[in-house]
Amino acid sequence: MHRLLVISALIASAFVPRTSWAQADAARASDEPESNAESTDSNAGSANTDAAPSNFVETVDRDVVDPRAPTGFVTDVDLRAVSIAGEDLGDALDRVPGVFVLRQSSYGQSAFASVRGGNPRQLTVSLGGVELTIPAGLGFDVGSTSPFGLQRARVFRGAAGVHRGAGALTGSVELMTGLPERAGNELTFSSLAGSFGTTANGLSGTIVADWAALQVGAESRRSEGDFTFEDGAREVERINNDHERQVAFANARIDISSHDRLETSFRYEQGERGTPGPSEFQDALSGARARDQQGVAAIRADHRAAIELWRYGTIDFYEALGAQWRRERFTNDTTVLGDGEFDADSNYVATSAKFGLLHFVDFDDFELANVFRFDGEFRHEDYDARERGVFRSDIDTFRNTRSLSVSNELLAFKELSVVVGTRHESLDGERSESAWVPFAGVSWSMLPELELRGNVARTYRPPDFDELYLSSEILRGDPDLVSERATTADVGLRTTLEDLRAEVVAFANAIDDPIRFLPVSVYVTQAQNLSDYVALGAEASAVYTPHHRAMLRAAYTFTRAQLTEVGAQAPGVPEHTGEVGARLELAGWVPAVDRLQIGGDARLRSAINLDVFGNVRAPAWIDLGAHVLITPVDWLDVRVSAENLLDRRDVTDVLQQPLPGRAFYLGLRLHTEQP
Amino acid sequence: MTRVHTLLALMLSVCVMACSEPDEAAERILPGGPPVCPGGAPVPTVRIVPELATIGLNPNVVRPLGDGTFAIAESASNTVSRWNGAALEQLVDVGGSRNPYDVASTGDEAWVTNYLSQTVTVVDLGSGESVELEHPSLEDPSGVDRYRDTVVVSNVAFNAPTEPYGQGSFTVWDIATRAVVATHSAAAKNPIFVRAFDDGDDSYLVASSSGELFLSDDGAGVNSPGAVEIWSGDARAPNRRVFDVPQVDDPQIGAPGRPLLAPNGDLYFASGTAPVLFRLNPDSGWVHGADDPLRFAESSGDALHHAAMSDRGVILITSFNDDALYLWDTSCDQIMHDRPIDLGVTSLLEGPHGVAISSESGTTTEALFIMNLSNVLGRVVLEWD
Repeated sequence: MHRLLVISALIASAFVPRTSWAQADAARASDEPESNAESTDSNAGSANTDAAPSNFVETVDRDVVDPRAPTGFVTDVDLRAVSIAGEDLGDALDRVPGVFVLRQSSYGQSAFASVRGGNPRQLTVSLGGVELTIPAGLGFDVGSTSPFGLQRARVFRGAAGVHRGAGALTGSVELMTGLPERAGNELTFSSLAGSFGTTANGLSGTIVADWAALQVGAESRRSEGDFTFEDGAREVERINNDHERQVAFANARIDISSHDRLETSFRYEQGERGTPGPSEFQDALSGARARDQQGVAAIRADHRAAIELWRYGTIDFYEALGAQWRRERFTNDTTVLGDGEFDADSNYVATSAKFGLLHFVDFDDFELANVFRFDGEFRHEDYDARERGVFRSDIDTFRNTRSLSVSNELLAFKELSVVVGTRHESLDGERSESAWVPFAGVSWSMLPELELRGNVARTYRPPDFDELYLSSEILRGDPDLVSERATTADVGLRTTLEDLRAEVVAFANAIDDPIRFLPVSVYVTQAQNLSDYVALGAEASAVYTPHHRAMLRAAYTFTRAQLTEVGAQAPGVPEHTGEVGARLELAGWVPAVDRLQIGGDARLRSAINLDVFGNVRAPAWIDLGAHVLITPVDWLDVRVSAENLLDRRDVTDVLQQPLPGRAFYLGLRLHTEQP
Repeated sequence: MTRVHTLLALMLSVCVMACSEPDEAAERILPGGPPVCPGGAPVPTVRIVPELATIGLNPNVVRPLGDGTFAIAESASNTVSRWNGAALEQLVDVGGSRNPYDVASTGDEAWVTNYLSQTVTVVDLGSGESVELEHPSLEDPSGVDRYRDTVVVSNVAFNAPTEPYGQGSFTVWDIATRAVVATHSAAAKNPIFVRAFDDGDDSYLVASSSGELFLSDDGAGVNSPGAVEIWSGDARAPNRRVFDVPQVDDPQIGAPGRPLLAPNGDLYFASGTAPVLFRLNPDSGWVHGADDPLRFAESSGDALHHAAMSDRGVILITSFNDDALYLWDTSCDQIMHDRPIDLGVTSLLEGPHGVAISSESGTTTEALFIMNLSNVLGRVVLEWD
């Protein structure tokens, strides 16, 4: 019996004031690299997009310093080029060391990201500052979620994600919208066409004045998903693998005064897709369809330096409201066991209110500075889900979460930063509990070019609603589940030289009482707490720019993740992942083009276990990709890209969910003057 | 840069610790003892090799092919593999959406029932070539066995969890022509298993029907009578004797499984829904029927059981829900170990789902078992000295 799909996501909010953070960063490291300095000026959920990188139509990542995790390992991924590269959010996140994305099928279909050996449920995702807690299912879907209109994804690995509170057991991802600061107007049209019947068209416009900004956009995309895969010696057509998706968004900003800013954002997505069955039993789900609608809205106010305390520093405040609504429906007119029709419908609504203050003081005489933070959040979630068909289940529940967080960062001698803090999470509803989430970190600039960082936190994830309350005859939750707790720690080095940026990190996650859906009898699969789960590993990455026309990058992650009672590598966690890539800019050598860039990537993934016992394995593979980017005139970018050039068609990340072979995409971006 | 070196050394040590390979599952030994009853077999020393080989997904049955090798129907992989005592090879990929359920040898060929496609696949055991047979009478084909010059396939006619079962039937194929030569209705619904016992002219076939199964929050049970029928003579027009398995107060008591033949000629059946055995004397009827089953464990629930009979009259019973093996002495109908024998290698449910005797000598009995969830083939050796 194949249970598929499920449900959805949510909301909240997290906004950070700016000025004091910028001051803190200035105190932390006045010679911070440019990219980092820029990123620290961005507030949560909203990216400063003024910088127009030379590789604008290229997905890139870079290590950054985030003021909420100043000692943590945080990486930004530029998402602006994803839509015309034939890639999805998962492809972009997969470039970050320590992150692995499990793909279930081709472009537009489900994919799930995990961090440092965790599973996708153990990762929180926020969008535009609004927390997207997934009430049920496999975790946040980075495959079907459209990246259109998103500027960046900020990935917090391990303890760095602790500021997200409940749910961020192994890390967190922040999807960031963005409005430029500089005045100007822009209109952009983007289009994509490619393999497997893929098309996408999007239009967005931005108006930026000195005191306000507005950005709106919409995109529609679709794919037939009709690829073939290898089943032994046979070539088999993937069926019921199509998808279509529409997204619309609006972001606005008003500077009420030089100290006060109001920002609001809204995003709506809807889609329908086939949910292809296991490769060995495609017929059983040939008519299965999943439909979803979701809206996310946020409004926030920042009050910079709202209180001046003379030589005792300044205090910033912020308030934020967030809301998310999500509906999902899954239907199937046949099942493996016969003619039982299946219909699952769920609604999820969450609202949140958040506030906080930040006190910054700089003792120049002593080369000391201090940053104190206090944050509070209230979140209310409503979830109802019905399953009708061969088996039945009803969930109608709610949950309130109250969070308070305090932290203090001491910066000394422009080379040392020490952070300590704790959160208190209090949940009530059908189930009540509370948890302390302490954390600490240190960064030390040992040399001007070399920084040592280390972090430790005791993170927390309460069970999702399906893990608690699912109640069908064959698939059940358990209201008595114990929440997951993890001790997560990392230590690493970062170096930034003129032409080389590199990072190497060792990490460890020890998860108590991990929750898995596993069979408990011949007919029943149930959510259960297992014995301890330990993930140890190392991440290494480097970007080398030997010439202004050339860039080389490499990344590697080793992860050994095991349930102690099984002793095998955890399913969905490859021991080895890596990537090497190169870019070469040819403009100037080739006449009549503003830019001509060629590039190639090789992504390696070692063999992966597909079951919890480690007895079912998928082979290792190397995904070779290449692209050419041409800017013949300054208002047009053309990108031709290829993926899986070796045309491997026997690869899977998830049991009996084959991945597509070689694919080609042509993307266009037409734009007026950039602001 | 000394600190850098220290850190790198720390990271290297993390990797070294993490890179070490896990221990392989090792053989386990349980000591034996004296017989549990006068005249009974001694309690054997039990050696368990829990992971002989990794097999295909959700294996449903392991059965001898008659040449010393064993076939394993791997339902979710749509494959049948062959174990030759040392290595595993794929015998046939029956194709997508087939769900192979059972497999039986006719000597040169293996016949595979494909539950979902309403077909039967016939595989040449020499060349590996296969052909898929269709027939209108095939309706969720499940059990299969060679009987004299025919192959008998049972059809459970399971419509859907929400619909009533069909009556169930048997399709009889002529081995030589691969033509259907007869169809017969089942005596009770859900005829899952057929097993022929070859004794020359006295050969006979036993079919067991579970009756309708239901699934509830309390587990699986039966809500219609089952039956055991014994065929003799030509399968085209067999002489059939039917032994009813009536419903009793406890709905979990029922669902007789694959027929087993004891040395004294009695038939045993492990229940699919309760930790009990049924015993049938073919001449006189039920010795221990649904109203008086032989209980081999106190656990309740929907534990699925499969069993195999040794020459010594000891039944090896796999119990899905507790990853256990039970030994039952038919000479006195008593359990042989005071606690279940753990077949798993983890504390997670691995789901033993079939057992077959692979060799017997004067001092040992060897059997193969399959794990439905962890997808491994294991071996259990009973040492009688």
